[in-house]
Amino acid sequence: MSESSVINKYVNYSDGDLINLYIKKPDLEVLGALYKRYMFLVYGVCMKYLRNREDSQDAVMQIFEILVHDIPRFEIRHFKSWLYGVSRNHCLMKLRKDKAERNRHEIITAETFMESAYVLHPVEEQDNEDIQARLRSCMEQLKEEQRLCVELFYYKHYCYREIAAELKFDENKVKSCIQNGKRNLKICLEAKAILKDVGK
Amino acid sequence: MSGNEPTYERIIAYLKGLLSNRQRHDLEKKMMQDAFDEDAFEGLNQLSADSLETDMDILGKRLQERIRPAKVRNLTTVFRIAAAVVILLGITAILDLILRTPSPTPLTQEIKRQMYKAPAETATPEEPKSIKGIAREYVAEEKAGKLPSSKQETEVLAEKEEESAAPIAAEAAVTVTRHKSAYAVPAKAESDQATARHVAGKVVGVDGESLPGVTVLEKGTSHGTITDLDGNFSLVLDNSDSDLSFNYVGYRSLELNVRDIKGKNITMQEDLLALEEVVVVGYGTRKKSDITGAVSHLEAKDFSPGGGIEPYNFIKPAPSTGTLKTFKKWVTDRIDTSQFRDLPGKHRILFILTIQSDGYIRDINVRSTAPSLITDEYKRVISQNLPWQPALKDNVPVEAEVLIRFTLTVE
Repeated sequence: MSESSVINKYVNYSDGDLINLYIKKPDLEVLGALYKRYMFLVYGVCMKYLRNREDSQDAVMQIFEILVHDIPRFEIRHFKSWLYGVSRNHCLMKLRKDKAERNRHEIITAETFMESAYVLHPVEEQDNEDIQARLRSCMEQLKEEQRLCVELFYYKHYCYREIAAELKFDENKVKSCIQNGKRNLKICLEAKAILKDVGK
Repeated sequence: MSGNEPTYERIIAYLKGLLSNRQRHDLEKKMMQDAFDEDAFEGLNQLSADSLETDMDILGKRLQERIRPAKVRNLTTVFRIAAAVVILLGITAILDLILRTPSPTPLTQEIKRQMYKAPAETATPEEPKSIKGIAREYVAEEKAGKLPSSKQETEVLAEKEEESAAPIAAEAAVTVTRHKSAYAVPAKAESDQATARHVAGKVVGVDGESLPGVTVLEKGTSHGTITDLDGNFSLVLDNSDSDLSFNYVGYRSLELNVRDIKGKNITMQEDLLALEEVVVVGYGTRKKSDITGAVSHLEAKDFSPGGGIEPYNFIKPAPSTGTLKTFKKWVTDRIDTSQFRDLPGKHRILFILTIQSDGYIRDINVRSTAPSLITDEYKRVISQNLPWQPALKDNVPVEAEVLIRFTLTVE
């Protein structure tokens, strides 16, 4: 059976359908069809943490083996986020085992914990005037470069490259400015919310 | 659900530079909506479109190889015969299991022993009964269906197995169950530890402003760190549920369990009480009664507006570029690094500038082990800068010192 026909065979199945199918009858073809949908994301996550193509490819295959074992063992409600957890844990575990990589791991762990799983987009979430006012004042408190990046990205809908050209920054710096700006805005907004609650 | 396929195509187009700026923005924003997408996008961005396509091609083939051998094996005539034998053996085993009578043959005894052992090993305390049931069923089904358990066949398979490097598919079902318990459980425990043993966070004051230089210690160990300029810290721990203590001058010390920290800001309260109790001297703290000599007693309220003493108003000198950061950039941009080619490495230089009350630099003091060629070049550039905004003490310009650190890396 050719590769593409395997994918096509299951194209109308949802993730949940495929998981149930696999639990009923552990057919690697079913699991493979499911995994293929997300393989490039898993590879991306591995690249982010391991920063090496060979290691990342091996990790993608190892993560598939984890799925072979683990899918029947857990009750998986949302496959994509479960797979993210599995992939990230696998990468972190691998880094941890490699003592020479310890320093890099610390940086990564810090990055991981700082960008939290809470709501990432305070800008778009609520649209009442109160929050807009708070947001404006928080925007003013941001460092200049973060404020510019956030404004260009969210208000002017520029892409990273355009912002980089406009501000003469490196693209990576633009990304980290948006990320840090977002985080600082969130911290600021939360602090203001707390102060307001205390005020009542 | 196949909505991910277009995403992959978009990323390829993105990396190839085929998208318009608007489309780039849309994809960048879309990939921020989900933590998985965000991490993956960051990782994939390290690759060129060509590398990504090659790698995905390789991965597709590897995955296909991993899936296919199971099928090929089933079709081989040898294994069909083997399967027939297995079915017979399997039926014997199941009958044996159902009847639960002592087995006369060593082979079935062996199987039975393992069958009992396997579910018991897999069962962890929190595992629901139904899963045990499934595991049992699964074992029985596999046995009856296709997998060989006689020693000879297993050996043949084991050889094949080594070639394909696929650990599970061809082994007897009993072993599969054992594998699961042997690998999966410790693997999970380890991954939990991997995240639990690290802690990172941000320390802020009540007004939400980050606090740099707060000491963070793991209680009962020598592990510790201080927060960086943005108030962030990260620490490797001995124990995943240690207490951390936070200390900062003028703030109340804080102790928190690691579990309460993750992902949250740590807010420290200003300590006004301490000012009433302790006399603060430059080189430490002592009780008032232990000190000889004159001691003035000041309370926190003395410093508040309308209190007894107004603290004098001091504003640090500011460079003509506005902030120290922009000043450093101004200097760095003008340094002629071409003359440092023979001085590779990382050079750290500390300058102490004395800014006169008229804004001109009176003196540049260097603290550095860096070669004078480098420090002189910095001095040259620094002295070219326009006059500074002098320090103001109660709105009167005064002379003051400014510390500036530079780090220069010469490749």
